[in-house]
Amino acid sequence: MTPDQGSPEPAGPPSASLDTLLSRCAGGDRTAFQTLYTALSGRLYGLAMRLLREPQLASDAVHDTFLQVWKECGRFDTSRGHAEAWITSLLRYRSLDILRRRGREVPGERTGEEADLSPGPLEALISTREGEALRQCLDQLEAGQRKLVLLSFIDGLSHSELARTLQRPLGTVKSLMRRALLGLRRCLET
Amino acid sequence: MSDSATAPAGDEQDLLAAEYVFGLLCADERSVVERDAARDPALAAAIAAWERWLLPLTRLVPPIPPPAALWPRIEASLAAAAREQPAAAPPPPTQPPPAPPPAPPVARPVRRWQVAAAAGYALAASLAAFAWLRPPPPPPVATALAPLPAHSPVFVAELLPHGGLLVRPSGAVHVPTGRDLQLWLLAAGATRPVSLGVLPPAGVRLPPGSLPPDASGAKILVSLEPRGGSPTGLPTGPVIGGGSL
Repeated sequence: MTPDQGSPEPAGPPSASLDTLLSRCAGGDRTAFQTLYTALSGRLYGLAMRLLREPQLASDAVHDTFLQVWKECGRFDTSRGHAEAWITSLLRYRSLDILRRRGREVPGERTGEEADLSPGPLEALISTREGEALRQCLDQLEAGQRKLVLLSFIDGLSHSELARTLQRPLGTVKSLMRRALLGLRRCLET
Repeated sequence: MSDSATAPAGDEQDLLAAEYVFGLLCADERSVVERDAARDPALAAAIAAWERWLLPLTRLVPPIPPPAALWPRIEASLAAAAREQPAAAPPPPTQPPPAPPPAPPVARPVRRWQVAAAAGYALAASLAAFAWLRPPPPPPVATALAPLPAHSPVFVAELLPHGGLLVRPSGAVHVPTGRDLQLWLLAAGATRPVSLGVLPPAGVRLPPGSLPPDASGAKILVSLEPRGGSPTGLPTGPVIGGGSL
């Protein structure tokens, strides 16, 4: 049986309902697990496609992510956790594992043009309070730093891929990225 | 990985956490961070903070409906894992869910299906996103390679007089289909174990020279790996037993 593929809301599914679904999964409720899949699979598959570019690899990443969710849902701690952040992180890390293991750090494979760096898409962050805070902090970065942050996070580029994409020395990219991350953290903490 | 030339020491951990969350680290570096964060609540908290801060960025990527075959594939994988689980195996100890499940009472076969999924799919990112999870119970410390779950293999490791190492089973050993056990040496003060090779269920005798001259304080660990051993040179599956020499 294949769940319907509804389009999630821009701000994502309510975290409280995801927490409830995870709690039910922890009790072995397969219906809740399927509902969780319906709520998140479109968003996760889109992210995986963005990172991996190949439908089969993206399917593998989403498949593995949901198996891991089923495996670990009993340990998910709602007092510490944010369900969507947890599951999204699982997906990103699984995708990054696949990327790194396939050795796709080949010049020219990833152009870096996919990350839309114009102000328009970043305005979409305003749809949530957390998103608005992040957008303000990204705005405080220099344009070059902001580009590094987005290319890295959204398209999964490593230090060396960033260096090749931007045709900058690796040391320079690492230094720029460190300054960007420090600036971003100081802003986000306030 | 980060250098410490431009950031105060207090920032280094946060930078490392950020580099991990962004995906800037290579596979080996990611493994080290995951292992460290599993033991260091401050590092785990820093990772969790970055994951939550950056979540809105993931919503900038348009959703794409997954292939219709994906959900049946997930169901089939879980069902296949359930079939691999020995019928007599009881569910492992688990902590109760954070809220009472509104679903009907849990049937034991369903729970076993869930447990089997865990046993059958030790994912490469098995420690990933750990910051949101309750910590697992601490492993026992013993000279024997003591098991964690009730049905894990049990081994005893003995340093031989001439310098070799004998690892022998002290009970029935069951290794899941398609998997192998692997033996590791974690030197005192080291953060990365060194492989001592695949561990057959019948045990193994390692010749002199397999261990460093001074192995005092080192730990012997056993992990569950894909057939033939870890493809990465570091444990990829759960560490199911260990003890200090």
